[in-house]
Amino acid sequence: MTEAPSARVELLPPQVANQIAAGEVVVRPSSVVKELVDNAIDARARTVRVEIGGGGIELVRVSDDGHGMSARDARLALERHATSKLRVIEDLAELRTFGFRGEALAAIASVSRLCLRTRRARDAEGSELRTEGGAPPAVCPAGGAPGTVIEVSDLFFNVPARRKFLRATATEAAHVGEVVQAAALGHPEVVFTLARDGRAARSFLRAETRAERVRAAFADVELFAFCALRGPLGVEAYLSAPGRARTGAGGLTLLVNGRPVQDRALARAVAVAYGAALEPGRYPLGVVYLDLPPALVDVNVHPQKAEVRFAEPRAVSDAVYAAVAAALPWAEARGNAGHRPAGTALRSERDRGGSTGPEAEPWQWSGAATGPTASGAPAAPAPLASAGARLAGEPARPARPARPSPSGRPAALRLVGVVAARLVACEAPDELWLCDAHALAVAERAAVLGARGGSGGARGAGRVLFPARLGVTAAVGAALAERAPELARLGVLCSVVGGARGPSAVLEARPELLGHAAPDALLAALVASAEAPLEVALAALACAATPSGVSDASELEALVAELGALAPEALAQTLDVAICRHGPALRARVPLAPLLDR
Amino acid sequence: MRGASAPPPESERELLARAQSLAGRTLAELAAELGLAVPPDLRRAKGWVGQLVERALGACAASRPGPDFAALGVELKTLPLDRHGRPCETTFVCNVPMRAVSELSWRDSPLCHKLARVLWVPVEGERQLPVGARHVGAPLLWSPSAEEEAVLAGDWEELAGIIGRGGIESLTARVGRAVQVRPKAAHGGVRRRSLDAEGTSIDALPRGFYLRVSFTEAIVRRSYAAPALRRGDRSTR
Repeated sequence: MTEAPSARVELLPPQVANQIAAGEVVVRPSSVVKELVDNAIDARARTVRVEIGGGGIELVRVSDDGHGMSARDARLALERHATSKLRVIEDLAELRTFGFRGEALAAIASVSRLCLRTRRARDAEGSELRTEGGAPPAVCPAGGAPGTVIEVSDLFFNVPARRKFLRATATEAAHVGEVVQAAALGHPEVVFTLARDGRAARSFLRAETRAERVRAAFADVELFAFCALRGPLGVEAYLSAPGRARTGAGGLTLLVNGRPVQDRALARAVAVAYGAALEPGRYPLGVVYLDLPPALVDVNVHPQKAEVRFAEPRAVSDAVYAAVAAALPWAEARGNAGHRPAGTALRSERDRGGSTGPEAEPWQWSGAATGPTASGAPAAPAPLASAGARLAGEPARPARPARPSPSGRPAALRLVGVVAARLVACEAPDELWLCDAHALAVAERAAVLGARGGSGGARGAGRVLFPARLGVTAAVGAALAERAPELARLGVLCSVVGGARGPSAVLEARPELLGHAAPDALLAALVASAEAPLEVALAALACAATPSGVSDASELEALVAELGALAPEALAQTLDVAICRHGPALRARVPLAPLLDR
Repeated sequence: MRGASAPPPESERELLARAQSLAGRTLAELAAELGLAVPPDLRRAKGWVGQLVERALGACAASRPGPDFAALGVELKTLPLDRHGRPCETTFVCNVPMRAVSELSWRDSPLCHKLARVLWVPVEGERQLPVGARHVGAPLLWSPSAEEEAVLAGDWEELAGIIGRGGIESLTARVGRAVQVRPKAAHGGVRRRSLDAEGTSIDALPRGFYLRVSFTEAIVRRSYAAPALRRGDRSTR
């Protein structure tokens, strides 16, 4: 018996290999749109226009005003494993582009008729490449605006079996709409337009913030906004009330470092955080942005890059759960009476006109990464890693598995200025951090207080001339009396005295650090946190002694000077634990690369 | 001024503890405990605050010429302070012994005896504060330091010298670094026997020794935290 020629092991022709790869990468028109939009964003486009015809089966055209390609690059781009986005495998660990596999264009080209027109701004003429079913492209010079236009027509014309799996035109068009919206949510700075069969379907104008883009995407839904920071992980979420929940997680967009991903565990964490307010299987509408260092997330998991793998998936889920649970106003409805609603309702533009009260200023951030204590005072934030373990007396945290890279919060920060009379701007090598000056100073002072207390100063330096006095319950009095020796070591002399009307707490002295505070305010803070852990009491004291920036410019100046005197490493550490009894600190991270690259 | 009074303390420690227990309370609270009425203002009740605190601490009111706590040798002085911690007024120490002043050395002087050991009790003293709402401050048991005593003794020598030489009528409140001499009488008609420059006996307005504000303010500044003096901060948060 002779061996049949077909049974021999042969290298597949590139065209066949591409078609096989296309089976994984290009599933439906929306996958084409996703890959082309990713490319446009990686080309630093400011405007991306997506046009589809026949649900994207007949035509997908993605035009961008990005940097374009030379004729050589354009030809190479249609080859498999050709990419400009990484050079060595180590680049994968620090990837900040959306594409990287170098096979999408080749895969798309192999199952469609593709026309690529591109011109770099500095070139006098551009190039046009046409290919059918992955055949070698025909190249000719072409005119056109700087940027790239890719037309994909007759998708799967050469793979009839795959074509049969496509759904109705409207369904495919809807999938394309979802892909465009997800991309738009990830890139508020980019203008997106979507046209269906020659008619404009969606458009997203350039937005300054994610919140603005979210409002554009969910114009008719009231969303609650909050953000939280847990070690290296930043969570920024805009979530609907339980009443707007849907069956399935389709209405919940998860973006990891701006990349839309599908992650059942994360979606589940969000839903579970709603507690009994959500029936099982239902998920809120909205968006959850997760920002973490690229090294902590593996994007090379899924052919369509729809999934990612976290270095610590459990910690990420826990952090998302905690952030949502602590922030959403209906937390009480599920029995977590101690949780303070910290979310801010986001109303659509037309709802906002008549809104009053605290919700009259929507689209503000409020942190939520902490679990308040029984007394209502916030506990120290529980960081993802050990980054926040700074307050004296804080019990050691259980050891966690070794991390692939240090905390996402920068190792050092340099204070560069004040924004809006209440935020300080701090600079790291590749990002800018904004944090509430008051909370930052509170964290710094609480740490100093815990570390060295009232040391220094002349005898009697901390003695209060008119001691503050406050009636307390027996339980609070006992707790304060028990804490008094610890406080005395820190320079805070607080005693509990009996009286005809019950016990009273008296504040007789406090360290120089708290010298700016009225004794009454300090005592009130001590009494309120009497039954909470010591570090909470210290934070409460520091908070009472720290003016909020908005009220007094000269005091803000003094605060900023105090923070500016910190070593860069100390400032970065302080940022991690920034919190005060008014609630978690307002914090935001602004990556500089996208701005500087532009 | 009727009402209850605490028994005299048996030691400085007890006295101080009692005074500390008053700290942070209002005059109205103290008055209520002692069964006293709070006057609407102090213009017609001068000395009411001092007497109230004396009673609350158990000072023997009958011992006018000697220290308030005779057994302990401690003089009680309430010290009205403004919101910045500055004394609102000079502090009366004792009457000027018109005839005997020239014969007394600093050590034998009533001024020295009175100031040897003082329990300062700060009290909010701003006029716009209703009397009952004023708070009692943290007490300070004080003796003059060597420098302070030198200043006080120097003032005594100078002032006693002027009065002893018959210069009582020409003595103004400007003389003296820490202590000044000012008229001290219920009204302008009161007279005490004194001598003029010729050695002739005259009827003069009674005078008293007063501690200047600068002297008591220095004690406060040294003994309490400076920013804590901002009592007005009470309502800011």
